Amino acid sequence: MAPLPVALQEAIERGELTPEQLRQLITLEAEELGLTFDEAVKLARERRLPKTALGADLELLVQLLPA
Amino acid sequence: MAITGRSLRDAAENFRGHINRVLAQTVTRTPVFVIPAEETHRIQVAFRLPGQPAGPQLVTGFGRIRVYLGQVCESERRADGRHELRTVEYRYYLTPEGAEQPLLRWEYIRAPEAGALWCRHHLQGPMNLPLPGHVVSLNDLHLPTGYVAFEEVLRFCIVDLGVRPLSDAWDGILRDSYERFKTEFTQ
Repeated sequence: MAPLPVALQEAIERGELTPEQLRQLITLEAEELGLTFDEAVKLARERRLPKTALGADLELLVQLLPA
Repeated sequence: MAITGRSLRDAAENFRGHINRVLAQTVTRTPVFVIPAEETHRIQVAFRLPGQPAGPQLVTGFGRIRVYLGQVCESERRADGRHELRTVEYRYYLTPEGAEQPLLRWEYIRAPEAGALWCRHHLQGPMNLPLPGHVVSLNDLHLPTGYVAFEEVLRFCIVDLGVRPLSDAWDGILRDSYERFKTEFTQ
């Protein structure tokens, strides 16, 4: 996976992500799987993402979004 | 007393700090990070190496194995105003070096999708079970486990996989942490 943008990486290290940065992180992880944000959210909620650490992380991040 | 804080972020920091202290004295100095979501009153706590959602590789008696720990917790506001964390989901994965998928996946999903009636706390992995007349992959089943604390996964890594502990006091540290979460951290 490509390095995260510096601002996003720093926000993760501070534990202070904005809602926009959360969506950005989900988008970047989704792209790593060849998916769009919307596709990743749908598949995550259906438990159909790859059973890998990346897929697991995406599923957990999607749980942070409003239903 | 539960894992609480004055705010969602404060409770999350308490949780993150606790996990990282336990990790650093048992199997790895690689820390977990917190991603808060004030909108939903939830947090994610997970390993996150620079640029990727992955944990460290542990040196075991069976080669290098990468560990991923991730949890989502929800904050509930108590009568005294403090935020108390409860587990919504967890994923604990162990992936041998070079493997395309985890060998073992402990998972908890508090609210599965509609129609999913399987055990919410389960273990899966790409291994075949020789049932009479059939061979069934554990990935196609949801082997019941009960709630698995992350401390138990660390204990498994040390005792069964042969990871060299970072402290001679590792057993007591895991016991104390496990007891604390059994009594203080509800799920």
